[in-house]
Amino acid sequence: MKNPISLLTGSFLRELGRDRIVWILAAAAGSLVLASLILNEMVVGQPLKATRDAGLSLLSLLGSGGALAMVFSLGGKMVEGRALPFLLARPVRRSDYLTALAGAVWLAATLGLALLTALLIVLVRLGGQTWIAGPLLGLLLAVLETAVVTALAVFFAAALPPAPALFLTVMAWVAGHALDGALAVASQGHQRTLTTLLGVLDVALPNLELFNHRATLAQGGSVAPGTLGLAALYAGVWVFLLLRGAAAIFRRREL
Amino acid sequence: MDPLISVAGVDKTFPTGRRSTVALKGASLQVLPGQVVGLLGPNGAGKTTLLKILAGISRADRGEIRLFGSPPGVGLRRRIGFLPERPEFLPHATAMELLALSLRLSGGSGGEARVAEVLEATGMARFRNTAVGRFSQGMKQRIGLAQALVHRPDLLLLDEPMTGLDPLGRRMAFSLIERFHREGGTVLFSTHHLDDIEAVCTHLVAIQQGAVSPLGEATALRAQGGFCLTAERDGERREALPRGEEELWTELERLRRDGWRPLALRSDLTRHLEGYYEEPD
Repeated sequence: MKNPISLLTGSFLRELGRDRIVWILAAAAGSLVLASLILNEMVVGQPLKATRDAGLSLLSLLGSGGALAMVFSLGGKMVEGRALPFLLARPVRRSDYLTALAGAVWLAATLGLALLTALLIVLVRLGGQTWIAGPLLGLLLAVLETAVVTALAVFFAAALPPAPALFLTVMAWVAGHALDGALAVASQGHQRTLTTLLGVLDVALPNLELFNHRATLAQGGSVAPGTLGLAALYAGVWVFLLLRGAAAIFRRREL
Repeated sequence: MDPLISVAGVDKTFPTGRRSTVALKGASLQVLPGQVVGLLGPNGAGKTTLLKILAGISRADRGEIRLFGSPPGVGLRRRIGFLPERPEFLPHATAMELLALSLRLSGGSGGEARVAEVLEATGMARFRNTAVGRFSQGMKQRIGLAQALVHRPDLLLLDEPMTGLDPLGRRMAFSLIERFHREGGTVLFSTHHLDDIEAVCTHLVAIQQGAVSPLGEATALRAQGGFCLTAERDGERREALPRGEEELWTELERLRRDGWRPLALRSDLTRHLEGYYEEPD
């Protein structure tokens, strides 16, 4: 018998591929990258800078945003839409379902990000420049960040109804990007309580700024292999912890 | 003979806001191999909760459950076919894809040929390539039966299998259950349709306020009763309970002679079972 996780992941991927929301996101991403070509006219002396900046930002934003949309769309159909009992009556563990959900969403998002990266490389090439390493590194970092955001969304969706789960995931995403800056400001202002509180949050929530090297990449710079390796390890540990936590909570949830 | 399903002293409570709702209270039940057991009871009696616990969807708070002689586990579920109440599925999957997934998840054999066979048996063959999300409730019910049967289980757990089915669909469901039973399968199903129970059940169990009471063999219960004849005269209604066919004809003759108009005839078993659908005081 084939592994239930791979069977479910395949079915969920097919389900996502037929869902309107995925195609709307893909169309939005493509349109925004194309729109950046117009913005290039406003940037004097740095041809295609707007396309490079917008493309790298979109990789991060659409990876995370797409993952959120897909987790809550598919997860909602399964739990609130009552499609899950027929699967769980099979030899399928609840943790298998959560792993397959996260895996399918991550794979679908990765596929979308890869297409967006290809579009970005082609557009820059048509503009007369060769820029390949930057988008590919941006893709890798966006894929890692998307894995963590997907696991965050699955964690909250396993514990709560869709609206509060979505709100908390977005808050965790914002905090993941803003905590480093907020912590620096608080420590400079010598606000001990706020610094402690932000420090606790910094440890308790994944730090998504580890995956943000857009400024360097847009300027044609690179990211050290050690930094990439650390980011991959960090993402792996968080995905593991979040999915284990989600499984422990979801095991007790009444369906 | 060892029971296929053994439930002893099972409790289940659901939190509902600040209060809690008792769904099952000391529920005990035994189902032997080859039985077709009808689970009777009003809405909220605990039928769905009991079936979900047996199917592995929900967990009992306390009590002992054994299926096929073992404590329930993920591996045992490949021997069980479960139809949830008002089933829903992955909406973009076609009927064929859904059944293929069900078959493969349960490790069933036969592949596409088996899927096609079950689609044919449930009257859904011509909708094999239609997305399940486009189906009516009755069609989803048929696909629900198909996915419960596709991996050739030993035990069927059916929660309101006749809901939303048209007369042809009901006949199809009866024939599938009967065939499954003839081939040695065991069935536990809940229903509100008393004629369903009369048609296919070998044994009956009542569940009221979370407590389970075995009622015995359907044939014995039928033999105890006769008919229940309802008649009307000048807006007044009365019921007569003839014991057999001969008594029934005599009673009909007497009623007509006295100016009563026969309105309905049902078996006394049905009348007896209706008592289990009355809300307790």
